[in-house]
Formats: sequence, structure tokens, C-alpha cells
Amino acid sequence: MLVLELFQGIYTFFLTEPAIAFARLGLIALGFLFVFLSYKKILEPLIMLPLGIGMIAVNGGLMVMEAETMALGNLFINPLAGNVEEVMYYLQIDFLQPVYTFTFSNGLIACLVFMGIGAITDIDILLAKPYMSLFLAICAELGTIVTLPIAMAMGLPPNEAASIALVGGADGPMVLYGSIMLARDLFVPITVVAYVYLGVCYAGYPFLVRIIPRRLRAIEMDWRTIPQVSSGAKFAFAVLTCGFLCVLFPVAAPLFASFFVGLAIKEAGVLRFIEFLSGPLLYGATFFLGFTLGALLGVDIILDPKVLLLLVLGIIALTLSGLGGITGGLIYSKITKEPFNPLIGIAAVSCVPTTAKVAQKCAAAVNKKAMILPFAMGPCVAGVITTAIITGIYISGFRAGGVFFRLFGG
Amino acid sequence: MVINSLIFALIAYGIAMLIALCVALLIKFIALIVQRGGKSAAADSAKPES
Repeated sequence: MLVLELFQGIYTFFLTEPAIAFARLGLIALGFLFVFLSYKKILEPLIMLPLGIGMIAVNGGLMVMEAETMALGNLFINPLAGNVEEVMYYLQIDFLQPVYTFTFSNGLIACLVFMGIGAITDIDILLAKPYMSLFLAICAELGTIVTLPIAMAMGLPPNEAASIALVGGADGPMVLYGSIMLARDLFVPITVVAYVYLGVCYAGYPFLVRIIPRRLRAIEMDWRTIPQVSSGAKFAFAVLTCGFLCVLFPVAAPLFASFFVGLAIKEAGVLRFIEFLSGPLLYGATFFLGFTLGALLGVDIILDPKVLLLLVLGIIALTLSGLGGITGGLIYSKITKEPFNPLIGIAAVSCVPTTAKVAQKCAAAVNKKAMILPFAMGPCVAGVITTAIITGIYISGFRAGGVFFRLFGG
Repeated sequence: MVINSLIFALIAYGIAMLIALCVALLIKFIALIVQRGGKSAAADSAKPES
């Protein structure tokens, strides 16, 4: 046993209860699976690859922190560090603690990702066809709306129900920000559920869209119907919409400001900033987001009985949003006079640009000439805006002393 | 509580729809202003210099 103490990762398997030891092994195996599926591009590698490696490392690297008390821990993060002295201690011990303390617990990482997303987002179709884009985006929020009462019916308190319902918006940074604001204790499992499912969307939504008749999926869009949009109009949209939404929802103002500042910089053509936001900032933040989330996925977090519930609710939310988007696409194809491929509806589930790519992939599978990706980007970006609006409403409604509690008590 | 949350969710949906409509109208308004600006600039440049 003394020799085994040299290899603390193995030694600690024998110090914990068998259930916890098996859960650790399961999480390590799950980490390997995520890494493998990311390598094969079945899951989104930008997030899931660092997340998988983080999971393997944190669950493998459990060690005895204090020989006297036999307290177990790791050298990654302690998300439960509460008071200033504890935080200061762990900042000097755990290598990812600075990233967690200074960028996760205040939502900064979500804002950094949003700045980068803003700087790479093309809003031409949103501005050229605002009614179509926003109509589809609203339809694709079905999961965000319907999951809230479902989650409460399944026993979650209002703030946690609202956090998991935000998964229906299919926007990782938004879920992270919303759950930090609403349910800090559950933000790690909720965010991980969101990111895992967003990765699965790429593989799952192509099956969901098969409810659309094949002949409709094969419709080719008419490029001549897209009017030209000047960069001045796009810049004005970014600035004015930012101001408008920040006035309406100050609680989500950091998210709006981050997204629209990226957009405004792109449209203003400030090349140095565009390069910075869309390159080092976006990918740096995305890397640390994935890696830190993986490192937060220790056995103590996952063994929370609520995680299973979150997994079920997450898939309900995303499925309903997908169905809402598809229904919106079908309705729009009926009411518009122009040829319209209802697959574009699925792109309104705002996982930029994954769902737009899914729409294009599914259209090309039935008709190689069907090029719908540029059209799909409009609802996709509109989905970010509608998800941010609903996030703002939920945070205002369900934070401590929020509108919901004052309306209905409790 | 579940019914209350359903009511709140529907109110939230209604508000989101309304704000989305406002954003769409804002986009149309911007397009109109930009179009007018473009037209007046074109008219100014077409005027003969005095």
C-alpha cells in the first residue's frame, strides 16, 4: 500500500467508496469517448476535445491533499472556494483557479466568446430579411419556453428550471451566463449538459428534420431575392440594437454589449481589432472554456442527483426548439410567395453556425444544387438575439426578488 | 407553481415576440434612412456645379 501511495491517482481509488471510484472510472472513460468523438469530428472539437482531456485529467488526478485529514482534492480548480482567504489560497495552488475565479464566476468568459462571435457574424440576411429571420428565431425558442414549466413540474426550483430551459436556446455562452446569474450551484452541470448537447445537435438534428417532406427539403432558394445591405446599415443596426436591448434588459447588458461591440467592430472594418477578436480572443476563450469545464467535471459534481434530471430536460429543450424551428420553416414556406426551403427553420436554433451548417448539409443530401447556407445564417443570428432577449427576461424574472416571485409569490 | 411558471413562460414568449418585432422594425427603419441618405447623396452629386 505504501508503494501505491507513490501513484496517488490509483491510490485514491482505494480510499473512496466503491460507488465513487466507479463513477471516477466512468467519467475518465467518458472523457476518452469525448476526445475520440471530437477527433472524429462527430462532436464539436473546439469545445469537446479540451473538455474531454480536462475530464480525464481531473478525475485521474485525484490525490491526498492533507496527510493528516486524508482530504482528497486535485491541483486544477476548487469551485467551492467561498471566502476571500480560501480563494486566495487556491489561486496559489490550483493552476486553473485564476481562469475560473477571474473569468467563470463573473461570466466574463461568456462575454469574451460573444465578442469573438460578434466579430465573425455575418448579418446580411438578417438585415435583408428581418421578418423571416426573427419569425423563425421566435419559433425556435419553443424549447426555452416549454421546458420551464416542465422542469418545475419535475421538481426543480424556479431559478434552476429557468437555467436549464435556456439550453433550448442552444447558445453555450448564454446558458453559461444565465446559469451563473440564476443557479450558481448548478452552473457547471447545466453548462456541460448544454455544450454536450450542442455537440450532439450536429449529429441529431439531421434525423429530426426528416419529418419535413423530402420534396420540401430539396427546394432551391432564389439568390436574386437577397437585397444588398450596406455596411453603414449593418453598423447602425449593431449600435442601435445594442442600445435598445441594453435599456430593456440591464441584467443581460454585458452579453448584448459584448456581441454588438464585436459586430460593430467588424462592420466598421477596424482590421486589427477584428483579427484580435475573431482569432486569439475567440479561440483562446473557447479553449479555456472547454478545458476549464472539463476540469470542473469532477466526480463530486456529476454525482449530484439533479444531473440526470438536467440531462433529460436538456434533450427535451433542444428537441422542442428544433421542432419549433422546423414548424416555423414549414409555416413560412406556406405564407411566402418566394421558394423557401423549410430546413432553414432548424438554423434558427441559434447555435452559430452549427445549425446553419446542419440545414445546408441536410438540403445538399437531397439536392446537391440546394445552397441554403447564406439564407440560414439570418435566422441563426436572429436566434442569438431572441435567446439573449429570453435570457434577459428569465434573469429579470427568476433572480432573487425577481419579477416572477413578486407576481406569484414564493 | 407549475401553472404560474407556464403563465410566466407565455408572458416571456409574448414579450420576446414583441421585442423581436421591434428589432425587425428597427432594421426596416435603418434601411429606409440609409436608402434616403443614398438617394440624396446621389441627387447632390447629379446637380451641376454652379
